[in-house]
Amino acid sequence: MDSGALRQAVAELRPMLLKIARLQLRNDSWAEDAVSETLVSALESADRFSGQSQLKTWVVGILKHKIIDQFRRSGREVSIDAAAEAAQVETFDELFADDGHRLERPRDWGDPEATYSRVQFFEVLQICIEELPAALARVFMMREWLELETAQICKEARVSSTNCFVMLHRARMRLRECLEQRWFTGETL
Amino acid sequence: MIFGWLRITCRQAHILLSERLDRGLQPLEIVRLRLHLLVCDVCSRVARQFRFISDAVRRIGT
Repeated sequence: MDSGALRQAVAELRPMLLKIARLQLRNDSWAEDAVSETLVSALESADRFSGQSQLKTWVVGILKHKIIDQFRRSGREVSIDAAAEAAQVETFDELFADDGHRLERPRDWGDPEATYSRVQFFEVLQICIEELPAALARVFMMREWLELETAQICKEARVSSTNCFVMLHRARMRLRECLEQRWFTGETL
Repeated sequence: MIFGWLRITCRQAHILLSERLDRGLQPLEIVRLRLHLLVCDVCSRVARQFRFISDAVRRIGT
C-alpha cells in the first residue's frame, strides 16, 4: 500500500474509531482528542505498519493506548463520576425472591459464534452499553474492551476494589437484561 | 443439612460469577460456586451469558 492509499484508508476508519472512543470515554471532546491523536500517530508510524495484521486492528490497537492516555488526563472528572456511581446501590430485587433465589429463568442465548457473526447484534450491544451510566460503562469497557487488570481500573477511576467489583457486576447485570430484552427476545425459555 | 455452610443463594452466585471474571476467587468461594452451579441451571445460564458478553465486547472494533 503506498502512502497516499494508506493515508486514505486510515482516514476512512475515523467514524468507526470515534464511535468506539465515545462508547469507552463517554465524553465527545475527549473522544475527538483520542481519535485525532490516534490518526496522527498511525500516519507518523505508517512505515511500521507491516501489512501483516489488518490495518483496522492495528489502528484500533493505537486507539486503545490513546484512550488510556485520555483517561489519565481526565482523571479528576473520571474519579468524580466514579465516586458518585459507586455510592449508588442497585440490588436487582425484581430478579430474586426474598430468600435470594432467582425468580425467573433467563433465556438460553444459544451459540455465541452464530450471534457474533451478525453485525446488527453489535449495534444492539453498543446501544446497551450507551444506556449504562457513564461511570459504569467506563469501568466495564476498561475491563472488557481495554482488558485492563482490575487493580489498574480501580486506580484509574480512583475507587476501592470492592466498589470496582460491584460496578462491574452492575454493568454486566444491566447488559444481560438489555440484551435479553432487545436481542434475545425470541430465544427459548 | 450437613453441608449447609457451603450453600449460597442465586443472588450470591451471580456476584461470584461476575467477580470471577475480575479477580481470582478464594478456594471456598470456588467450591461454593461450583456446588451451586451443579444444581442450578438458572445460574449456569447466567454464567454463560456473562462470558458471552465478555467475548462480544472484546470483538468490538475487530
